[in-house]
Amino acid sequence: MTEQVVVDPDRRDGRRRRGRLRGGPDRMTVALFALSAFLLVLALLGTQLSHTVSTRAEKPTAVLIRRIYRTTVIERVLPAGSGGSGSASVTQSVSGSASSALAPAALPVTRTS
Amino acid sequence: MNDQCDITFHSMGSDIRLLIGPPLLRTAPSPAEASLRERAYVEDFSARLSRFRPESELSALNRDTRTQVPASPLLRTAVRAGVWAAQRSGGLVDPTLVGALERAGYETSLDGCPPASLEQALAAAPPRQPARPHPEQLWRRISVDDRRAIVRRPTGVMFDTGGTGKGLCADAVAHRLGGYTRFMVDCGGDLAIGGVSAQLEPYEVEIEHPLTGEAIRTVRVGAGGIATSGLNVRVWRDSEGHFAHHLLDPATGLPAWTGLIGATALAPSALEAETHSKAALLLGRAGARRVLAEHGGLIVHDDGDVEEIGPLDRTRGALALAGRPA
Repeated sequence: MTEQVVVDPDRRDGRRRRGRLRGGPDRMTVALFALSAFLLVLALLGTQLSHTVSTRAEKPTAVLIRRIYRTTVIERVLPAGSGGSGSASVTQSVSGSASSALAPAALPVTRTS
Repeated sequence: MNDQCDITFHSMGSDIRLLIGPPLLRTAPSPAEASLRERAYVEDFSARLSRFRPESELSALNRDTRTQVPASPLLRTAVRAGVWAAQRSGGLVDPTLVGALERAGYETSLDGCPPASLEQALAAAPPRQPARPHPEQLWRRISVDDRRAIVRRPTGVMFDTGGTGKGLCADAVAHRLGGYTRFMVDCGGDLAIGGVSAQLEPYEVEIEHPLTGEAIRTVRVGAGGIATSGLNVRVWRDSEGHFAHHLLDPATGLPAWTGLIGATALAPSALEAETHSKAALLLGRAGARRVLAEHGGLIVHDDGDVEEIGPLDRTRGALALAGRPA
């Protein structure tokens, strides 16, 4: 036994129309809306990033200043009876100075106390 | 090595110096902050354990007539260190000689008093002989009970931290500086050194001659202690005009004249180095050679001659990268 099914084209279109109405806005609208939301988020992030960079730039940079003094002592030893053509010895020492007591000035010494 | 904090101040009747390198952790206090903290610790240590301050915990212990005296953790540690030093030195570094010291003229601190001439004292001194332990060895009857927080000792036995206090203090500060890459604690010539960086690049330490004040030798120390005992700083004339000094022969209670005027010892800790240096000086030439052989040291004879004994650089083998000084 063969059963014939008759499909009414008008009824089928009606279903389609109802389906579209239930699904909300069409694809183009959704795509535009998503794109605009994405661009908005990007704009927000960009604004925040530029704000952070400008805030950092305003902070003072910590600078450690360490002054080094170089002292050169030139000692001329004149031999007795000489007219001034004696040998010269040069002693050079370097001492450092900074914000706190840095750079030990002398070696530790063990001694009687 | 140049980024170390270096401070010197006066405490315990001596100059105290702290060298502190960068911290291991960035969250730790800076070396400068740590140096101030440790300075306060040393000054507190000195105030609480000084024999010359009537208000100190040590003076209170010595005045107390009870045989069992309540004591703070610091005082108990100091007493335990004194007894340990006596044991380690066979009774030569005796912490119970307060009475003899006072009879010899060391009743008050000699800080700031110019010492008498050591050369004159040596010329007038009796024949040289090694010191010996006190026959009664009263220090053996001193004990510490941490559970009950008391010190036990026979009534009338007074305790002196003078023989071990600076070494103990140096070790304590060194322990507190364990979070720093390198450090050197100098408590009146008793030095404690530590830190990973110090093992890689040891500190160079000068040994001062007791007669001339010049550097006899420079030794490299990467970890542990080094200490010097000598007669040159605390030598005086008593009321009868006799020369005296603070290193007593426990057997006689009189200043020891052993043929040595100075001894320097290296050891795993400053306390042990101080104990060895005092024992070496009290034992004289032969005994000093025996005592200093293990960790190394140096003695100075009456005539100023210097004798090196054992290994003099205290570094950890291959970790020592610095060149040996000329």
